[in-house]
Amino acid sequence: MQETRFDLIVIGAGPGGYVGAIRAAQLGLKTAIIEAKDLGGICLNWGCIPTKAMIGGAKLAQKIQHASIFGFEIDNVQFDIKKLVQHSRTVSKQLVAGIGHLLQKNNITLFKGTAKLIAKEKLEVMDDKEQIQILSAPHIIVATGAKATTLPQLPIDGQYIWSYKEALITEHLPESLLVVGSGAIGSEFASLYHDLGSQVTLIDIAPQIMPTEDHEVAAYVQKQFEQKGITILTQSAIQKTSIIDGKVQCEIQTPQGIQTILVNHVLSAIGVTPNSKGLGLEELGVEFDKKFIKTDEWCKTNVVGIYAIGDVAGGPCLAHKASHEAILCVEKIAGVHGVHPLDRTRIPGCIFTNPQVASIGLTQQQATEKGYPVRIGNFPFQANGKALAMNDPVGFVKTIIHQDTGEILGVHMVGHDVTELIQGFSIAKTLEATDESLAEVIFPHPTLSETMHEAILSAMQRAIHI
Amino acid sequence: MSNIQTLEVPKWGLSMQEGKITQWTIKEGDSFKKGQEICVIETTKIANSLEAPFDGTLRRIIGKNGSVLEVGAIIGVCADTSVSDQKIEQFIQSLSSNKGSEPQEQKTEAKATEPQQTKSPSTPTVTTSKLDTPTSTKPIVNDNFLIPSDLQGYQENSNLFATPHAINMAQKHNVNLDKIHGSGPQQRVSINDIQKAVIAAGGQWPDVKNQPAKTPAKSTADDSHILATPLARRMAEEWNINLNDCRASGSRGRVCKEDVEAVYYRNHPVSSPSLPAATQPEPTKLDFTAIPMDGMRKTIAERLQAAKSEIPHFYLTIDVDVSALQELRTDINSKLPSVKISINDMFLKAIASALIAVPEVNVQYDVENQQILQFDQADISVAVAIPNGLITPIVKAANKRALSDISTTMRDLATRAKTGKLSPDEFQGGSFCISNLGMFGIKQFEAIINPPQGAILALGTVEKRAVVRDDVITIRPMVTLSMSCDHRVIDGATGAKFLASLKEFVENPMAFLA
Repeated sequence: MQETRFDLIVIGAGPGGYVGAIRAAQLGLKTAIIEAKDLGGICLNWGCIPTKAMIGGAKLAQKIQHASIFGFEIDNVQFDIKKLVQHSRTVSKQLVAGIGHLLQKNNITLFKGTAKLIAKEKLEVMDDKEQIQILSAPHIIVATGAKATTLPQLPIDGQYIWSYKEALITEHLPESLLVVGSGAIGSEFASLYHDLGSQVTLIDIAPQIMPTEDHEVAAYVQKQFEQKGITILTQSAIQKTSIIDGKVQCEIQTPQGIQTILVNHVLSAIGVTPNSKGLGLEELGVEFDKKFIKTDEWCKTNVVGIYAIGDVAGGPCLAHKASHEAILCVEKIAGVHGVHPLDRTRIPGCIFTNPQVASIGLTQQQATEKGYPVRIGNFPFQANGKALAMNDPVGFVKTIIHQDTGEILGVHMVGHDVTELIQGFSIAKTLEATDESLAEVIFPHPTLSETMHEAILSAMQRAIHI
Repeated sequence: MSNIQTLEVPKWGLSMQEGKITQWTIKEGDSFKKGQEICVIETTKIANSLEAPFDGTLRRIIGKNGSVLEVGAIIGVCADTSVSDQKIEQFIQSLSSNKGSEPQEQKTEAKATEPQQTKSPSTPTVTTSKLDTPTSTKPIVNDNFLIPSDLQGYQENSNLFATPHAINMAQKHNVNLDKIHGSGPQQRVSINDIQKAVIAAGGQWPDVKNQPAKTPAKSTADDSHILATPLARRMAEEWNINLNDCRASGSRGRVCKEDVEAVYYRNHPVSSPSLPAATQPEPTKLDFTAIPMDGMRKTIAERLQAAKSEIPHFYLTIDVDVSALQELRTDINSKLPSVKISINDMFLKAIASALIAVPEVNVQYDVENQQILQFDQADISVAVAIPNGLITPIVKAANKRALSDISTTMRDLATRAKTGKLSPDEFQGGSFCISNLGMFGIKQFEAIINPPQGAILALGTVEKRAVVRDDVITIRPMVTLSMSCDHRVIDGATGAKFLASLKEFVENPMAFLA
């Protein structure tokens, strides 16, 4: 058994792992990456990307429905979800191949198999033929991500009760679907299956849907969802499921009492659990915070030479947060000057529902809880020319500005393509721009981005178009 | 006057402070095209060709081959052939008097083997001026002012660009301002310029009171507290502009991009040219690959060639039993999650202890002053292989550090050595050196001394060997150590004493932990 020595090894080739490996290689470190399944992790294979492909279909369905506004009368619309799934899988495959190419280009050694730390600086990789290889490196980054959390009363059987994975490869459009959990994943599937034609019920144990979002945003989306026909039950929990005549009978505890519904499928989307078990971490004395690996501001664990990034090291479980941590962790190891720890108020969040939700920084409630004196700005897409012209006048931009310093504490957006707009505020926050400096920016007309400008101006009591 | 241009040491990257002129590829008198490679300049990181920023003719080389000059220092003077040698000399003189000291010689690296330049900048210009122009007019002497004949002839309506005071004085003393090089913005001629030119040409021009400041004052004050946008700060740093010298026209009194640019273009009236890459002819295919030696490769080649040929090396070899070391290591590593000590780390600690016990080995040879520098603490250089060579980061005061500290320091130094992020003080100096090829299975080797250090220790692999203990053959984990010593400063017995001490520490590690 030959030991292979590297400068740095990454376990897991998701958006945290492969980014970290590439950065390490760029900085001149001899780098290896280990992946048990497909390159790109959940993000590329079963998350961000394939769901966006499906949502592309849902968006088109909505366009077709409202085509007559633009003069099109479209009859006899045929929809085959198998083709949509096929498109989704093709995109994933294409991107996965791309990652392989990037790793190769950067001279990163890829090991296919399951990794287990066997000592400090040392791990073994077991491939699918159960061949074991020993690798060592002074720096080992754990980037193993997370998997869907399951409830005992909602066991994923892959047939009736789905996780996100089954929801992405279904061969038929379910007539009815119950989505349990209204975070980003649950809400996106609820919205897209509704738009494709399913009868959707969305439940959450929290008092609002999208529990981490600003109240105003959540309330607005809930109204939009209900208007288009999604049934929403908040403060509700699934009690029991049973399969009856090829359907799932669900008992739901609601504030009004037990409600029983019969659906074709249930999608469990209650959250994610870190993949921190079975890696040999406990044996080496690595400390955990619940099931997440405990790290310092440089993603270092308490055990020398072991680092953790992305979902496995704690939330928010977002690909871009993992990638960012990967870069800062590797650059810190490599001695790059000017590396900063992660500032959690600068992580944007995007939910690709219809309408979309995008946010960064504090919610109004959080800002108030922290005792900041705030000014709130708000501007509706209803007052934006481009939104009206495109027949997407839904949503608003809400800004939370520090009363005295003009700091952009938080921004919350609902509407068409707001996920493409939020980066403007990410840049502004990273550059520590104030309301004053954003007021000076020239936003192009006619675009949706004008609402960003107006929402800032609104917080300064000087919005023009409202 | 205005058609004299200078070539300067460029700034390649933020950390570049100075450059070494390794090779001029053109000679004095050659004309060149913008973009043509004219000389090779080496920094601590790279060797690169300087591309001509303009078309011109090289008249004087100021930065000779081998000289090390600061960024921005003038390395050559260019002007087309219509400009007389005399004017070039005057120009060069005005440069050196501006600086107040000779800019190029002080840093020239040793060995003055450069051929004497045909026209040294210090050649008196008065003599050449006589060759140039016949002395038809007498020098004008007026209140201690003496204007050499070839500078005489004030002309009212030429396109003068000079300070009002300079024009007045030129008129008064009949000076031809066309012949004076202006050092001000847009080469405006000041009184000071006239004075320099007159004196340079052998005349007299007494100091005049109330004369304007020599050059626009440049602030040297700390500008870190000056409010500026991130972009403005970065540009100022790149262009070596002090933010104190900039207006602050941005919001909330911040210096912004425009303000820094204003200062830059004030100092650089001709917009700085971009350097287009010269097109290389396609080389013919050969059955080998010519790998150009980069800066580091060349340094290794030069230094080790010198070390191996100049230093009288002798070698001492000893075998040490590392079973106690291994046991201790396993014990520490299994008990403390925050550390992972390697055998190399333990050797570092043992060597540090031995260096303190036998300080005669903890030395540098000061050739120049013929003395041996014996150090109080053990600064151990550790050879680390990196993709295109090697570098020797130093574990400083290893004798005073805890094992865990040595281990953490070494891990960080080795990683940063590979990413090229070590600062010079982290790899320059050191009182002793170690090189470990054990991880490649090398049993024993002799290393070349890294001068001015007096010795280097080569560590081989840990291997189980049959050894005799109490007349019984037994299996022990052993390491062979070879020390190369500079016999000029370390004698055989001293080296042997050190190795014996080291063996003692390695085989009884409690001694260095205590």
